[in-house]
Amino acid sequence: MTKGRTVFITLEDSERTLADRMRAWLQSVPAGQERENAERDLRANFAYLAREQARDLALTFTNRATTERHEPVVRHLSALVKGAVLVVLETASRLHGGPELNEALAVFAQAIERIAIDSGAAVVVVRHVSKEAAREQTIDSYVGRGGGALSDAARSILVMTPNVKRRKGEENAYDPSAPVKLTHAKANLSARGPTIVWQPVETKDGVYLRVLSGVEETTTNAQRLLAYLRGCPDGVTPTDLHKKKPAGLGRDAAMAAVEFLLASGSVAQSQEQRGRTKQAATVYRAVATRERP
Amino acid sequence: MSAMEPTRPELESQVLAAVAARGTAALLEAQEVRGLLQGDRLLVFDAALSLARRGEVGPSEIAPGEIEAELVRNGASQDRAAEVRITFETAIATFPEAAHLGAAGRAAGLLADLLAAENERHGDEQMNTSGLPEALLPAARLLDSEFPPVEYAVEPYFPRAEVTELVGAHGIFKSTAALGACLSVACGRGWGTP
Repeated sequence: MTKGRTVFITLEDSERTLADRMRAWLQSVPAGQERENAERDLRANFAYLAREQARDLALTFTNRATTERHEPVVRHLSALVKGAVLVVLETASRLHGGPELNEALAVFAQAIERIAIDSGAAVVVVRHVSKEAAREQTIDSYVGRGGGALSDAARSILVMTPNVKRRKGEENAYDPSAPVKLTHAKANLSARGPTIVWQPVETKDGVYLRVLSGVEETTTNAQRLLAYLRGCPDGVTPTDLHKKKPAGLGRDAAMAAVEFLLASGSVAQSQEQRGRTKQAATVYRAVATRERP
Repeated sequence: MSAMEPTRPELESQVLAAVAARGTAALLEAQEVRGLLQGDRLLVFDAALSLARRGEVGPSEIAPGEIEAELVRNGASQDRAAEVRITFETAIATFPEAAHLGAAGRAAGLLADLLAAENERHGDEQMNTSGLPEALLPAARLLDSEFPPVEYAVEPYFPRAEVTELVGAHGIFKSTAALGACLSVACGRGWGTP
């Protein structure tokens, strides 16, 4: 982590939204001296442009059928952010004045690269995913909407998805309180970073993201799995956990959750004959609340 | 070009007519005006646009010196700005009818005419080669140089002087995460760590 000047430029959100998000984020900092220090640092190091100021910052434009770099804007933006450690530009589709075809996005990628090189900042471009990738919760370096040129140009790609895979039929379900996951899908200059899981925390001003530790993540997963098991009087086997992905959990996450629930007494395990071959299998069942010691 | 698309001279005539009829304000927003321009023409147009938007010049008051100063303010070198100024002065001298047109009209329409004609005459001579490398570099430069390690805003997610893409579906808190990164780095606090 390099402490320093940062810039957030959004063509989507208003100043009011930014203010709410900043105030919500500040609530993640312990109250008292620590929060006062954070406020002081923000006043010194953080700058922004919201959509009210940034609406004309298109880095590319279409001239007849071709997309061109808008040089004055690129130079102006480079000069504005020069010396910053981190610059966020939101979103690619708003900053790019051409179509989302590969050829046009290559011009946009050059413009962004120029800003990164000229300013020396880590430049983060926020980008939407394709509809299909959103539905499938795909995690790879080409999930961005439109051509792949921008993803090719990026040295680092971070993909955000729900922490648990939604089951079939729930693809459009949106739970704003569910944990979200950030996966480092591409890293050209280093090893990929660890996956980060955040819990959205609601405040009076908005949401901030709190990192879930491994234990907390297991606890959250365990709650989901327990709710699922309560709807399965026949219980589930390890094979079920692997194949059916109950509560959207992958095998490892599901097994970790089962171990947690067994230890807490919320789930019991037994050996039973299952399937057509009547083979002995381990079965996990939720323990009714009144049965628990 | 499709049969329905106007030719370049037709478009430029439309530009000039629109400037004469409506003044600059509405025209400045028109993408097709900017779409006509490249290189010096685009630089002059954008400088005129900035001046007009700030209200520092009236529709027919712009002077080449103001264009030059604006280009320097926008990051152009003094030499480059002076070069563009000369081009702009030439355009005004060549087209005396520019006197009753607005700044953007002169910048857009008249420079388009003048420079298009110049480009035709000089062809490849007009090509700007200032950014091209003069020679190949030897391997010794790589072998003998000490390059500093890659710096990160947040290691290893956000390398400096490079582009990072943050991708996600609508409502997945991309903006919240990205803003959180900015605020955390500004305060020297951890991002992505419990």
